[in-house]
Amino acid sequence: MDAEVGADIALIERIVAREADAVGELYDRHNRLLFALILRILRDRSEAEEVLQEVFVLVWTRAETYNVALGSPVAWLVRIARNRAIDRLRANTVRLRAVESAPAAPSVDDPEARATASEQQRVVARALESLPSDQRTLIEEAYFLGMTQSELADKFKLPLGTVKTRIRAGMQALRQQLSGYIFARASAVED
Amino acid sequence: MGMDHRLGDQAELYLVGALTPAERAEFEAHLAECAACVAEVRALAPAAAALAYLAPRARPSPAVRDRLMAQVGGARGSGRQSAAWQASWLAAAASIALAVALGAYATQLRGRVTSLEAQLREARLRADAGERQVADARRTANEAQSMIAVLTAPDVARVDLAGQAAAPAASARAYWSRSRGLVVNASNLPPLPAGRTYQMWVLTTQPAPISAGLFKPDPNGRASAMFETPVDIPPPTGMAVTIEPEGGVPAPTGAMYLVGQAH
Repeated sequence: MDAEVGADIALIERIVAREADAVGELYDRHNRLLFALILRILRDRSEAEEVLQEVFVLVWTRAETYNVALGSPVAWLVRIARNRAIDRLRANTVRLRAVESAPAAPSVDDPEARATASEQQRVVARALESLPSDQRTLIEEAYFLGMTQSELADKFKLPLGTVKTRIRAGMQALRQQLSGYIFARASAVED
Repeated sequence: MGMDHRLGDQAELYLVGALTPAERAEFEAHLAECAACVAEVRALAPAAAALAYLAPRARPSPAVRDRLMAQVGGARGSGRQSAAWQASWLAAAASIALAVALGAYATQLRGRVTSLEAQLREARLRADAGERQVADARRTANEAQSMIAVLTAPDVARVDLAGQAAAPAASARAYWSRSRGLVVNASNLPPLPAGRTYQMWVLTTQPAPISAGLFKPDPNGRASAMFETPVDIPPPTGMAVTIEPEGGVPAPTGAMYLVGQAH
């Protein structure tokens, strides 16, 4: 098992054992990734900070629901953060604002950010860009704008089955592309 | 374990967040009982998590950590912020390797548990069967020993019984020892009607036959039985077998199937 993932799992175990410090450590390791995602979805710093805090409070109160069979702790944290952000977005009038202002692609949109875009961002962006645009758009709109399958069907005038099929195909392709790269990375890091 | 895979097409929708909260909750409940969906989520989780890296970098204000720690009641302090982004990426990168390893491990464990459970069940059945066999063997050995005791008794007397009109092909041989009991081996006995049994009688100089006991033949019409007889009965003059109601009767009521005279 990778040391980083092992460390995250150890922190979750400590959180389950009610060690508050472990929440802080987990926060230190992942707050920036999660905050970036939440902010990308909500587009409002103070709301994003509230949601980030909610995410880690949830981790504190529900750590025992982490299921290693469903993926790494990071995948779990990202899922919680995304779901909380999307739920907030859906509940908000902010939603209209975000939907209207959001570019179709979740681009690295300001020059400073572009300049500092990390290698990993570029790799994931490249993988996403390699998908047929009809698959990519559906995944982006669901992931970053919180559109449900029926909303996507309505918006793009597609049968629900087509929405499902395209998202499935897109995610499977993404999985293929990223696994090749990340395996190489992971083994390079281990060396 | 229910392998209801009706929500099998939901894993991708779940991971990209295209489900309503109600559908999401339903799918999460479904995950508790569907190994196939768990495997699918695990396989796709790294790709779904990687999408988070598309968000432009951003950093929350330090106040968030302070508020969080105040809420969970732990210590303050800002920790290792600088390495966080890189650590996150490495962790996500490794999560694919982890997912594969865990997946394989989980599958392996599941397989192992299933196979151990099967072995345990089998062992239990074998143990039960073994106990039964031991008990059967012990009983058979005891019977054999008793029979041998009768056959080797110094006072053993042999009586050959011949089939009567109701069962001309039947025959039996009985060995009787006053001290050790009565052994009978019969063959070609007609099958018993329902609710009936064969009953063995010892004929003596007294008018009333003495009941020795009951027996039933196997499907091949053979029977082997061992009876204890009272040590004080008068000397037998012969043996007889009748068919009687289940449980036996104090005095014979049915037709004679086998009769033999003592020598």
